[in-house]
Amino acid sequence: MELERDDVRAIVEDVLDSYQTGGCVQRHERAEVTETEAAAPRTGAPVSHRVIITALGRNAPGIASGVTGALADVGADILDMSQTLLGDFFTMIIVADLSTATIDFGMVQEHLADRGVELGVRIVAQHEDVFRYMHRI
Amino acid sequence: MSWSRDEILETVRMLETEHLDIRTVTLGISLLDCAGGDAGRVCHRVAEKISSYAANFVHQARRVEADYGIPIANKRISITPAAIFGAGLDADGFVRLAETLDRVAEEIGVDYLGGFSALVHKGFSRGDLAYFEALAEALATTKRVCASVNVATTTAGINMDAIARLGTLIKDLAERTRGEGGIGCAKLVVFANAPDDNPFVAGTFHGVGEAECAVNVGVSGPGVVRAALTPCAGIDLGSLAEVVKRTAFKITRLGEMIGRRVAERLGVDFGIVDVSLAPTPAAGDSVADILELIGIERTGAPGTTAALALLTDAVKKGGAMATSATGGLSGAFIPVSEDQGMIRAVREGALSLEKLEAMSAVCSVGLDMVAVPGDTPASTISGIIADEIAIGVINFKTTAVRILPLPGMKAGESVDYGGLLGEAPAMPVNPFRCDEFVARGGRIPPPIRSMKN
Repeated sequence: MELERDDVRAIVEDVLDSYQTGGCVQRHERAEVTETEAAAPRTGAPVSHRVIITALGRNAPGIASGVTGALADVGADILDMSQTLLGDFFTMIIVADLSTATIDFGMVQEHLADRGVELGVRIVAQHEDVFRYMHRI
Repeated sequence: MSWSRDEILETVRMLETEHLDIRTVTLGISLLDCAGGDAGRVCHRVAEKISSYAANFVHQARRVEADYGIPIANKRISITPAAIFGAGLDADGFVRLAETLDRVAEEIGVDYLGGFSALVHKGFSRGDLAYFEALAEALATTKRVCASVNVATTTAGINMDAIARLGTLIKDLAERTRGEGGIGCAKLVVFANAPDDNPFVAGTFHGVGEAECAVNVGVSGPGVVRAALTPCAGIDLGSLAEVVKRTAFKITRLGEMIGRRVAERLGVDFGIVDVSLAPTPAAGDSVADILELIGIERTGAPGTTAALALLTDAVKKGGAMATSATGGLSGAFIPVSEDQGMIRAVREGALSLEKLEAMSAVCSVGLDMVAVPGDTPASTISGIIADEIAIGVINFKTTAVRILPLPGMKAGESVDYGGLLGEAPAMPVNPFRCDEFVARGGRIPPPIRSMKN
């Protein structure tokens, strides 16, 4: 899955490079990422701002909009989302980018947990690195 | 999505319901350059040096917890063995040093600081003798300082003079802390082949071959391993080992990531991940429960040692695959008071001191947090220590003893220390004596297998 995503990104970059303006934007973004990654070993801050949000609980109307609304509140950018129902048990997994968030990750976690209480579901936010380390070599 | 739904839900389950956390992040600090003969100056240098590296330690560890949403249960400090950099001090100087360490630990905000230690496996230096004179008082008058004494290595043999002294010292320390159930003894570990980079208290110290400052990590995991094995009823032992191995891999990877991030934030070296299953008194976070899940009715029953051997080996294999930075004790811990399943096994008569000793041959670390009746003779305590140490020396592994004579109590009675130390039931001790053996003193020579060159 990881490889597929990189492939897709490579294709998109190639296409953008073929258009001068788009290419410039893309190069600028890539340089920023590189800079962040280079700075990370010194500071110990996470390399990326991607987090995985999991909402678990009994299904009820309004959960999906409640969770995505909570993310919108904090300025998070949703990159990917999936939802599964097993009987009346609801799981929702969201990949979000917090680089545009208005508050830090700890506060985002608190905000989501509070919204979870209101919605009657458990909402957990974890940094993507946790999954990268645990499930990939 | 880069991660499958199952992978994500597995991780969330481990963190939310199976007590997965980072058991300890320990900052090791070299104090070799704090040596001196004047206690006031040594204490001043020690306080300055520890503060210079560790002032932000707890804050930065909390930042990493917040960044990743992974709890770090304990933040601790380890230092160069005190008897080495304090070799110029007298007994009063060592007590002052312990008091300074206690105060610094409190200021930094860590619950324990390890490394009030001595390495006497081949004999005593002048500083070691002063240290021994001060040890009981130093531990009885401080709360956060942990001590360890390495009394043997496979290459040096066993210093029986040290073991004889420690039997008496442990009894003395229990009496001095009688009001708290002899809690002083919970802060003293007697080692064979002590590792230089163990992050776990009470035995942690920062070895003399270590870097100036390094972060070492101890991972958690009994609850997670138990949960992974729960749906495995009826599978054969080889397949079961595979499940443990895979789980240990994930736990270890997480530990390494957190350790590296804390080290980066502090601008110091990352040391090792100690790949150990470390139980806590929390329900479900028990190594004994895993053994019982494997098919042992109660820990201590026939089959226990074999099941523990399988478990420990599988944890090591998973951990070794996950990181090249393995170190410390790396095995499975079987502390009695800190593991509800072990306490239950003792209470029900399934687990004896002798069976625990056998179990320690195949795991780390040894007779850990084992309470015995308050009237157990000092020589018998020395004999128990010598037996456990011999297992380590002959098998080229670390073993240790953290034994708690409970003042005024008999077998079956118990003390509840609370918190991570848990509840310690006094185990019956063999009434036959070994006074003459212990009184002989001297050094048990190193085994032939130490001659490998």
